Amino acid sequence: MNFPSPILAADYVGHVVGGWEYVQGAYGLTLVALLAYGAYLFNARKDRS
Amino acid sequence: MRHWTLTYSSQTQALLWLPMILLALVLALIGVHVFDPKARRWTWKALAVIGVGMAVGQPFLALSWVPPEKYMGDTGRILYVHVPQVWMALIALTLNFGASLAFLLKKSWVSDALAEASAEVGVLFGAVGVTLGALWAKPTWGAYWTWDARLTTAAILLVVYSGYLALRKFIEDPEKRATWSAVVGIFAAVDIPVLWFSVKWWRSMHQTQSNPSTVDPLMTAVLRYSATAFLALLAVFIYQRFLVASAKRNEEVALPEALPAVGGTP
Repeated sequence: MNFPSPILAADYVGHVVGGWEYVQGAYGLTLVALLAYGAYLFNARKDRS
Repeated sequence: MRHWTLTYSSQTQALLWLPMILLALVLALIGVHVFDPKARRWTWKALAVIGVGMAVGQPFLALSWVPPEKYMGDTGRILYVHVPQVWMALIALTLNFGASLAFLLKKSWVSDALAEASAEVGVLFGAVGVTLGALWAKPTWGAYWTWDARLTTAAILLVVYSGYLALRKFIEDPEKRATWSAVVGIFAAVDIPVLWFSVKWWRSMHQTQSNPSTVDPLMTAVLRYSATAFLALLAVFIYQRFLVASAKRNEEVALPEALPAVGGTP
């Protein structure tokens, strides 16, 4: 199938895939990364004090 | 370019100002933190409370309150974490450039510790931001990665600053480490404006920067809210990492012929 524009292609793929699993993955990754770095800094500060 | 004119109730319009008020508060706290050393005992805690509190509310606003994007649907909600994360990375790495320059000019351990802290936190936010971009690219572009100008310059940025952090680990002499890494930090910063303007200079899959006149006010408000939350966390992370780096530097430079310790020359 030929799409007339990238926007329509994105629309098409978005409908097929749904997209929520990527959104959940993105928010989950952000949460884990921030929490993990916060915990690392907390430990590093405790070790230095 | 098509401009959308939307009208909202006066209550919603008043709510749209909330992120700007919170942003002003966070910037004011950062300002007090920077310019008033005595206030640092409480400013970072206030920023941590605001940052964590806003970060807790952020998923509700981004995943539920704001409507889905017109073309990408719910996938477009990745915008509210991807874009602020990359913004924070660029702020942190620009700070690294300033601190690197300051070290070469003033030879102060404060600058070196700040450079170390800002580079590490910048790489953290940058790596998360780029990964989120890849997660967004898969359902919209059909592939996690493409060697387009924006993505390539982002990859270069991460590789160069990871190398910067590795360099700091490998050199034991603190003065040599600070000087060499400052030089690398200054050269590495060349990629920051290249990354920013890459979507304008080259034909790119990645869209160019939007502005409030082309985006729904609700989306702008949630994006500003998210950026403010991450800015508060960025400030806390850099400050805490700076304290770790400062303590390590004070241990290393106890010799009398070394440069003054962190507490000595601000």
